[in-house]
Amino acid sequence: MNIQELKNYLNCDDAFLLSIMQKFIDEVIEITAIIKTATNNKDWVTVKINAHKMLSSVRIFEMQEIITVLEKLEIEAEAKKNADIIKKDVEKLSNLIEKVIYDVRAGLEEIKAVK
Amino acid sequence: MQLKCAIIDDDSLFTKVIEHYLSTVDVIHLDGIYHNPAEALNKINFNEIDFLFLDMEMPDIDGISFLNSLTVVPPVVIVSGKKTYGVDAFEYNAIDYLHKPISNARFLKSVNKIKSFFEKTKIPETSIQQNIFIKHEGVHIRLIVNDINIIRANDNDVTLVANGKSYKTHLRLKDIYEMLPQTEFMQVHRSFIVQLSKIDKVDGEVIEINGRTIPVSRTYLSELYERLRIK
Repeated sequence: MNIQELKNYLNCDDAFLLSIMQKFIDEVIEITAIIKTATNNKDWVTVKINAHKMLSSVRIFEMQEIITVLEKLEIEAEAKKNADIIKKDVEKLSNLIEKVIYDVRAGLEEIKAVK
Repeated sequence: MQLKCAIIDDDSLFTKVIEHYLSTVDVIHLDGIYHNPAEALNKINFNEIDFLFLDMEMPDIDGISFLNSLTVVPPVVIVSGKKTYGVDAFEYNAIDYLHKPISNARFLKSVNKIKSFFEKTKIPETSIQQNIFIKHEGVHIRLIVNDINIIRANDNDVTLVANGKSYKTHLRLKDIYEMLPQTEFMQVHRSFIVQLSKIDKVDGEVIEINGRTIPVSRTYLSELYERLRIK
């Protein structure tokens, strides 16, 4: 994630960027938890809805690896495919999100330090 | 020109970004953000807004079902994370089709499209008849055109319903129609003219305005549906 590119993309100041990054962190944490629970309950509709919801957010930040997993998850959940495959993808998603949150938090600190 | 819009999208990060973009645009005022289409259906006064930013993929009610549920379909900017809604955008005469995520540069292009859409379709306010005088019980009374809902021809006179009050005049229905902006009013029956934006409900060959039912002649039916953008 390149902070300057993101600022240009959104044409915003640091304050707005900070608020959007914080909102992103809050959302992905919440949605990942919902997807995990829904997967355990084999509630594929909820998995699909929330994978789609998260896609929208991660696209802003151009997180291609997560986009690929979420797109796959959305299709798998809609098709109600093999639960084991979905579980593996959710696990992969969870790991990627953990890493991304770390990166975004580092980005947040970087902006705050410059301010 | 000042336009009012509402955003209907369950994605709160996206709506936050669009709200930010709109805050830098003078010509568009954001009237409300709705993360739930059902809430939007209940709360939006469609007579008050000029257009919608509408997401296509929402749980419970998707964008297309939402549009189909409306009596009067406002102009829309269709928004989606998928590229497959181009045909729908075309079918619903969408002003623009935005594929998420949306950069500020792309959004500003859309604003230009929106402005151009309304410049073409809106009649300059100066050319619209804002009020008319009618002779009611021997006195000339000024009626604000926008307050007039229904005009009904009776056997010997014509009744205008404005702001819940009825005014009788000896003008002919045809004469009154000529005094009104015909982009806003339409004759729907040999005895009725109505203001299109006041129609609450359309049920086959009957329309409803403020609880009053008005018949629609078959002659006018297809034009009415077309003007209300009912598919």
